[in-house]
Amino acid sequence: MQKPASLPIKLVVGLSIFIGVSFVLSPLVSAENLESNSYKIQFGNFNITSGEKSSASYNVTDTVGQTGAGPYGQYGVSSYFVGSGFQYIYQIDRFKFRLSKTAINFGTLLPNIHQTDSHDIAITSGGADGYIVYAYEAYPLKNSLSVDTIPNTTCDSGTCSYTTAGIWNTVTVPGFGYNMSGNDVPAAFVDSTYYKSFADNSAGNPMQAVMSSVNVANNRVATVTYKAGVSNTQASGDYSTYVVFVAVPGY
Amino acid sequence: MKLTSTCNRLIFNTVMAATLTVVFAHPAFAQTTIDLAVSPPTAYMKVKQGSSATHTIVIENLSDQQLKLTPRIVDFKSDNTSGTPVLSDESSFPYFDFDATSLEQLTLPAKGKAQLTLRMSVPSGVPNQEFPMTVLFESQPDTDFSAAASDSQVRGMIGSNLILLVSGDAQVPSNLAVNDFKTSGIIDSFRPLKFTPVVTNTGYGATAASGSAQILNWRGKVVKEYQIKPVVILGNSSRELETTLSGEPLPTLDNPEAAEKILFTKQFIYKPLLLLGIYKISLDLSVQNQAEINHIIQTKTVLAVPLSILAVVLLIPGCWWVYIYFLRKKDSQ
Repeated sequence: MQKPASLPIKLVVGLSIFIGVSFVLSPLVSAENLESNSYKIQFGNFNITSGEKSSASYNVTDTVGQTGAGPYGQYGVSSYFVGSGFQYIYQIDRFKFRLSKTAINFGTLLPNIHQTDSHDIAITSGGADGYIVYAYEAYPLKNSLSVDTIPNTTCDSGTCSYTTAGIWNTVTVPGFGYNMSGNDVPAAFVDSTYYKSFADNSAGNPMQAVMSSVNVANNRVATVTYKAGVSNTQASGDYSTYVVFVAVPGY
Repeated sequence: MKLTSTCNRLIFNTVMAATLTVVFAHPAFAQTTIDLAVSPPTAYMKVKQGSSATHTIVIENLSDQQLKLTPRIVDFKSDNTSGTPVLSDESSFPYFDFDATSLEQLTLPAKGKAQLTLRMSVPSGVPNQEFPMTVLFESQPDTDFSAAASDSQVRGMIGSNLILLVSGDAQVPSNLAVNDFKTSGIIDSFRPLKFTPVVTNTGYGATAASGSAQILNWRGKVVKEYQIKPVVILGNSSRELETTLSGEPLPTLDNPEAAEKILFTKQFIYKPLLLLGIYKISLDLSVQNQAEINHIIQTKTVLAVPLSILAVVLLIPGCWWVYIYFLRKKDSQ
């Protein structure tokens, strides 16, 4: 009669120990609230990691390769969708953009001397649809002490522009322009003698692509070389503007 | 005395030189970098009329110095050839719960992260419409730009795409059509057969398309096959399809590293020693919107004839005729 009574006791004790051990050893689960009333900029550490993982905010399915997956989720299943399948490989990874310098220094510009400066642009884009980097200048180079400006280069032939590249070697030809070399740069930059002017935002020129690719980009690096020169009739001095690079992932 | 005066002169000259160097030198400007990351790069989001939604973007400063960032939301449109966004200057999405034209500047510390959460409320009764947009973060180094007057600033902007669909339809209708193969109907037998399928989406919402293409000879035998890179075609836009450059299979999620090594091309090329007769390009597109998968099969017939040989055959009598003509003219003189 005593044996059957001890069995439930052993069961209860065993179960209690199991639950207790499970509770102690289980990891703590935490969640971040990403919502806000309107828009919110929040600082600190977040549980969003790089890599092709799903997060609390995203609904990522795992169909692969050749089967196309609808870009939008189904109602009742998901209303927010990052993607799946090949085109979305790394799509929830980070898109990275790096400029190695934030200042172009030509020094004091003198007639018949071209001054140059350069820096690198680096892109890492996990998405299978590549990326594009656009560039434009705020306005042509301006003299800091007068109203003088250096016109955008038209190159040796007088025909290059913000859309067309041309050879610019002759030091007596003044202007401001740039050359691109390295990964994913426009084919128009045949070699280091080819230059274009920047699209002039003050004149309403549309910004132009300086790097682009339809492939996955892993640290693709290009060098932008700026060149400036003043004419004989122009005042020597310090001229400046600002140049903007806009990096956007493909979709 | 002489030694003392020499020493004094040396000290005086050294002090003067140092002073002049300090006075006339260009102010030093730290060669800072801009190093940013955003996540997700692109997101697709559907919001039903009469409901609200949020979208969160994480922006990260990977550089070693503090950066000032100004967020800005702009529309983008398709370039109708690739998945490259063509950015606009303004935002036309009217359903944000805040003024999208004046977002606050933020200062992000070195190696710091911030997240921007956008909340939107779409009223009932508004039409179905897709809004492709890019959230841009414009950065400037948070250092005093009191450099030499000849220094020009370099600024960077990084974008995160949000393709937002306002729709009450459970299934977004897909209306894809292959309206161009970008190839001639007659080609030279000694040149490669090249084509680029162009797909147009006349529906209002983005649609994913993938599939394969084949080239069949006059016997109906498949002589070349291509896998098509799965792409998204935005509503009311076109896109040129792509295949792998060297014919390797597309990577899968099991092997995502392979994606880094694969290069894509818009030129589907078939280059045998000789092309002769009728060839049929057959494109089989799998179109999926949500749960539904449809197939679109489109064909194009190309005739390969030895045009270069024909040209030579016609050229020889032509040249002979010209030669005879000038010979007779010379004789008559």
